Amino acid sequence: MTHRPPPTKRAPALLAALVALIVGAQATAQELNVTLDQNVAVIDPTANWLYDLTANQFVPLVRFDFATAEVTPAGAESWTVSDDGLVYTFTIRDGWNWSDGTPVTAGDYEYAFQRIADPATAAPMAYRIYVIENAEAINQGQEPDVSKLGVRALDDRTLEVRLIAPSAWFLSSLASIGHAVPRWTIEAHGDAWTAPENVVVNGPYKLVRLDIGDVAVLQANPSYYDADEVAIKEVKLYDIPQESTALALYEDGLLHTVSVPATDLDRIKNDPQLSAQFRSAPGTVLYYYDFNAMRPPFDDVRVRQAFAAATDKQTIVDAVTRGGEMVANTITPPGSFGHVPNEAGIGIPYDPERARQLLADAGYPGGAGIPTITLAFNASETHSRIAQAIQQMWQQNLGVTVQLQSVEGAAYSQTAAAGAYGVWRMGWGMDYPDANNVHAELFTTAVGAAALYHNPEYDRLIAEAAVEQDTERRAQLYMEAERLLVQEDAAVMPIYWSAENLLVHPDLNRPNSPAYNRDFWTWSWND
Amino acid sequence: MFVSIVRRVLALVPVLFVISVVTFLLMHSVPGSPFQAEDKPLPPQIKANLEAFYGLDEPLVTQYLRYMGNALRGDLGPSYLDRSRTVNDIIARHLPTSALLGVLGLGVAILIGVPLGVISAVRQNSWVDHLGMLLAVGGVSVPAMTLGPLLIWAVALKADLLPVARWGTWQHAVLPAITLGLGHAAILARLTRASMLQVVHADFIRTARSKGLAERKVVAKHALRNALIPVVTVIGPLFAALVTGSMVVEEIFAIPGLGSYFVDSVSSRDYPVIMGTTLLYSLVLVIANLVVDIAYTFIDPRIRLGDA
Repeated sequence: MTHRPPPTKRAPALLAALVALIVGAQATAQELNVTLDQNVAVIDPTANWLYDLTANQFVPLVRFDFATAEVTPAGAESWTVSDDGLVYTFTIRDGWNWSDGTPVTAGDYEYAFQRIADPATAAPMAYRIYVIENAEAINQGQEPDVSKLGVRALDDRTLEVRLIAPSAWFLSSLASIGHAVPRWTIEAHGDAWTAPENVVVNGPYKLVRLDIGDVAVLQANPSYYDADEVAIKEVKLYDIPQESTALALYEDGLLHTVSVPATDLDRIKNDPQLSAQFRSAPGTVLYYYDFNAMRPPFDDVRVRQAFAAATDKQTIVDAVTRGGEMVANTITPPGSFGHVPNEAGIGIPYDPERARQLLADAGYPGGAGIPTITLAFNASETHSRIAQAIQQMWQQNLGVTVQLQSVEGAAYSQTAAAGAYGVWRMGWGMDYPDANNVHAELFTTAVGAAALYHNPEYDRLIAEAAVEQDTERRAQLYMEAERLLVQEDAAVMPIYWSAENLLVHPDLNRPNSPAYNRDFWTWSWND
Repeated sequence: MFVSIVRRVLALVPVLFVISVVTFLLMHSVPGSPFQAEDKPLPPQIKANLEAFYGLDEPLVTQYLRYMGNALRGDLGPSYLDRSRTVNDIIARHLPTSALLGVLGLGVAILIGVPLGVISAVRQNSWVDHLGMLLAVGGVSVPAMTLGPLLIWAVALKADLLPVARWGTWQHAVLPAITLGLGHAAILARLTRASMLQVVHADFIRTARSKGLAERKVVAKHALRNALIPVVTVIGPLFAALVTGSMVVEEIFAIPGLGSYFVDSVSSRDYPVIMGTTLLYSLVLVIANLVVDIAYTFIDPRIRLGDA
């Protein structure tokens, strides 16, 4: 149970005070009760890279500070980049040990990258390090010797990373991949190395208990290099599958912070006490529709533009999702490098008049002659409600017939990419805060699997932006790419960027930036 | 009797074998892959590595034989969603919780449903009957998804009588057991009532009454016993369903049970978990049906335990 006073109730607050008196008040300022992010209890950084139990236990080379939009030192205290942008040399922190007392070395990072590249590990995100020398050949089994990977420990404190092309986004991508892992533990225990009794960590926290489906307990790791700065000494992560239940547990005093489900937003905002604990911040997830540009009628750019112009996104956000989302006219979410704000005027604004004109120009005046449009989404209540609203907008504004198709999840993205639908719903959460992540992975021909869009000019812009060293020029390239993708070619229709709606205990300092901060070592209690 | 039971138990083996083959073929024939992100298809090489890692690149027959070989030795394989977990581990960790919750839910269903049905039938067309059936229709119509949060709000948050959610003490079990049991209580009540109405108009009841037996004795000893046969028939599969976990109730109350694995494993194509949970459910179901068959012989001695 919590020793913190619950945020809303008086009587339990008194009781908690009494309990605190009995068990000793000084323990209270160091404990934190939260939900387990997305109910994911996977720990190995090779299989999972962003969730609570990984990011709080293992240290990547660098981290990313959303407040300043800068890459900051983590496992590496400093680094240099060669003039040609191909060789990164990291200096690993000195005098820093794993939780079993073994020193953390450059070799631990070398091993971590080799393990990701090794096809025998079958790491799902291995393709994200293909920019490293030989990574792709090793991962595809053409190069059997993993030590040929362009990541080498020159000595215990120096790590050299060689790339196949200069990549401006590479450094920030290291904030979410390549965490050092303890080779000796993995070799001793196999897949069970992440169990509480086996795990050896180098991060701010260490797992001491894991009751899957119930609770995971992290305790501050005294061997972490910044252990003195870690204010919260124990974090209990409760696995609460239903957001509404988590909210009830917050109101009851167990949890110290929760996400607010969209259905409860109005109540929270109107509650005199809870509204003071509520905060909303921009998230990092893009919600968008893909058009099937390979097949009529969407092979005609005017049709795609017409459908985009016939979509009133503001109404979607205000009347359907109602979670503080932000209308998106471009792709890259705010907070990431290469974000193009709506004010830049790129994208297709809501304009039913123009939409009808475009459709008429394409040979379908008043929607006459256009085949029935299939709008697909992966089965979910929210996706369905959004699709219904958009169906209505398109029917009203364009006079077209739109058929909704709810598709079961596991086969969805594959079927969509195979061209089964005219329009389909997609989403993307940023893996690292750089436009390259969303553009290169979703819309370029090289990957090309998510969208049915092929434009060599767009591909060129994204490739050029990836290697461009000049920041301003790089931002310019992404702006041009956005203009092409969402406006001139109208290959995709961005709809909104997510919002994070949170309740936070009045005495808890949960840093606001980034919105989705689960770095518990940066949290603290007010005294 | 004993020989019949042994024979019936042996007959389970081919049943489970057929179920395993059908499940295996079905799950591999539906489109979709366990290694499929929702936001984009996985690059082909990454997928190939994952398939090789789990042996999914081998022919189906080889995969099936390997799976069954391991399963017969008690190894149900890893979960594709979390390599550090095995299906054995998942079942061992979550089945006891689900089973306890299921038994409690079934208890609620029987203790409320059967008496309600009996009273309604005995007082047919009285206000008691109408009220009872109103409650039963209500119970069937209000799904756990609505009832659960409602109980949390009213009983736990407002009245502060019981914990909001989670598992551990008897207090934690009250609301989930009620949520789980109430809907089934309603079904049992209607079934008991219908069955009782049939029986109370039968000749032997008239005979019992004309012999001058007390009404209480007529109802309890003669009518109910015969009316229970269809009810017991339903309780068998119900037991199997409840004991292996109810996803909705477990998720609402954040109970670490097995229920969500049945559903999530299918939507994520986590093949070993699908196989493990399906076989487990089948096993519990056929055993529950066997127990029901044995129970018949006690309720009505004319029924004998057959071979099939």
